[in-house]
Amino acid sequence: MIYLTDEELIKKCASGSSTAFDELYNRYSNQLVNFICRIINDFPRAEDLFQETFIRVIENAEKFNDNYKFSTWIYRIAINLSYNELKRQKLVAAPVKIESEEEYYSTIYNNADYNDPQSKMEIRENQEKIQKGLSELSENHRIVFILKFHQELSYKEISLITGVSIGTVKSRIYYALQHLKEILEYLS
Amino acid sequence: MNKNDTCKNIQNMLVEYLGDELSPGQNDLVSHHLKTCHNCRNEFKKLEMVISGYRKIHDFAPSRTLYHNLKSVVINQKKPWYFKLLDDISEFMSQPAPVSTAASLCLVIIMFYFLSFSSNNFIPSIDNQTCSVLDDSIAVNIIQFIEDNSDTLLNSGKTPDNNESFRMINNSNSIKKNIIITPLINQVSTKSEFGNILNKRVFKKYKNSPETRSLSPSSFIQDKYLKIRDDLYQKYIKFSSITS
Repeated sequence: MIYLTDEELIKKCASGSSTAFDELYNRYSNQLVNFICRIINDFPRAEDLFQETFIRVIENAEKFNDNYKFSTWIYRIAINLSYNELKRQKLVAAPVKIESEEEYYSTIYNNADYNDPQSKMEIRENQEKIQKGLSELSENHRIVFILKFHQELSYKEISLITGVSIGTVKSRIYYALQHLKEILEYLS
Repeated sequence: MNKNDTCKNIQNMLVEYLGDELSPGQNDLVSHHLKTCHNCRNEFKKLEMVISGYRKIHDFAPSRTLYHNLKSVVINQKKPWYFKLLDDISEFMSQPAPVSTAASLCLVIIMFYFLSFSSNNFIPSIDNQTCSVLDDSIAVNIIQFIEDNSDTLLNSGKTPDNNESFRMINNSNSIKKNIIITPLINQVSTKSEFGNILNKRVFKKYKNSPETRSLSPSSFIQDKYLKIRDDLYQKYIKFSSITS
C-alpha cells in the first residue's frame, strides 16, 4: 500500500474509510495509550481516554486544518483529556500497579538485566524513585518530560503540542530532570 | 574561560545533549569534554541513569477490545456502507501500477462477461405509450410491406381468401388496417411478441451502436423498420397459414 501521511489518512477517515482508520489506529494506539497512562497512572482509564481522544479526532476530521500536523492535534486532545481526568480524580501519580513481581520484571526488563539479581534490584529501586519523583512534579513538567523521554519528541514538537515556547519546554525538562536526579541521589 | 566556567557551560548543555537537541558542533564539544572531565562525566551519568531508568518502565499493549469498541463507535456511525465501499475501491485502485492494472483488467473481464450474459436478458421495458407507437408504426409498415409485395403474395399460391384480401387492400387503403393489420396484430403479433422480436433482433443488435444510442425506442424502431420487416413477414406468413 502506498504510504499515506497522517494528514492524508485523517481526510480519508472523514469520508468513512475503514482502512484509513485502521492505519491511524495502528500508528497511534500504543504510544498514546501509554502516554496517557504515564500521565494519569491508570491503564484501563488511559484506554478510555484514548478512545475518547480518537472519537473526537474522527468526529472533527472534516474540520482538520492542513496547516497543522495531525500528531500535534491528537496529542493536544489527549493532554487536555488527561488534565481533565487528573482534575476530576484529583490524582496523585502513583507507582504502576504490580500484580506479580516475577512476571513484571520478566516483561519489563530485558533478560540480561533480569537475570542479574543485583541489576534487577537496582533497576527496581531506581524505577520506584523515578516514579516517586515524577509524582512530585507538576502536571506541566511531567507532561513535557514524558513527551521528551517517552514519546521521543523534539523540543519544537513539544512546544507545538503544549502551546508554550521552546525556551519554556527546555526549562521544564531541565527542571524535571534535575529534580529526578536529586530524588535519586537523596533516596540512595 | 577557566575550567569551572567550561564545566558549567557543559553541564548546562547535558540535558539537551541527552535529548539529542544540540547542533553537531555542540555535540562534539560535549562529547570531547566528557572524555576528559571526571566531574562532568559523573553528572552526565546521573542524568543518564534517570532517563534510562524511566525509559525501561514497561509499556502496556492496548487491549484487543479497544480496537473493536472504537471502530464500532467511530466508523459505523460515520458513513453509509456504500461510501465506505467506494473509498475502499478507490484506495485499492490507488495501488502501485502493476497491481492496479491487474485489478483493472480483472474488472473489465468480469464486466465483459456480465454484459455478454445479461445482453440476452436485455429487454427494454415497453410501456403502454410505447406499445401504441409500436402498433401504429408497425401497422403502417406492414401495410407498406403488403403493398410493396402484393403481386408476389398474390402469385405465391396463397389461398383465394387471402388473395382476395390483398386485392381489397390494393383497392381500398381505408380498409387495409381494419381487415388485414388489426387481426394480424391481435392474433399473431401481440404486443409482447412485438416487444420480444424487437428486443432480440433489433435492440440487441443496435443498442450499442453510436448512431442509434441517442434515439428513443419509438423513433429507433421506426428508423430501423427495414431491419424488422423480415420478422414481421414471417409472422404474417404464419398468420396466413393459420387462417387459411
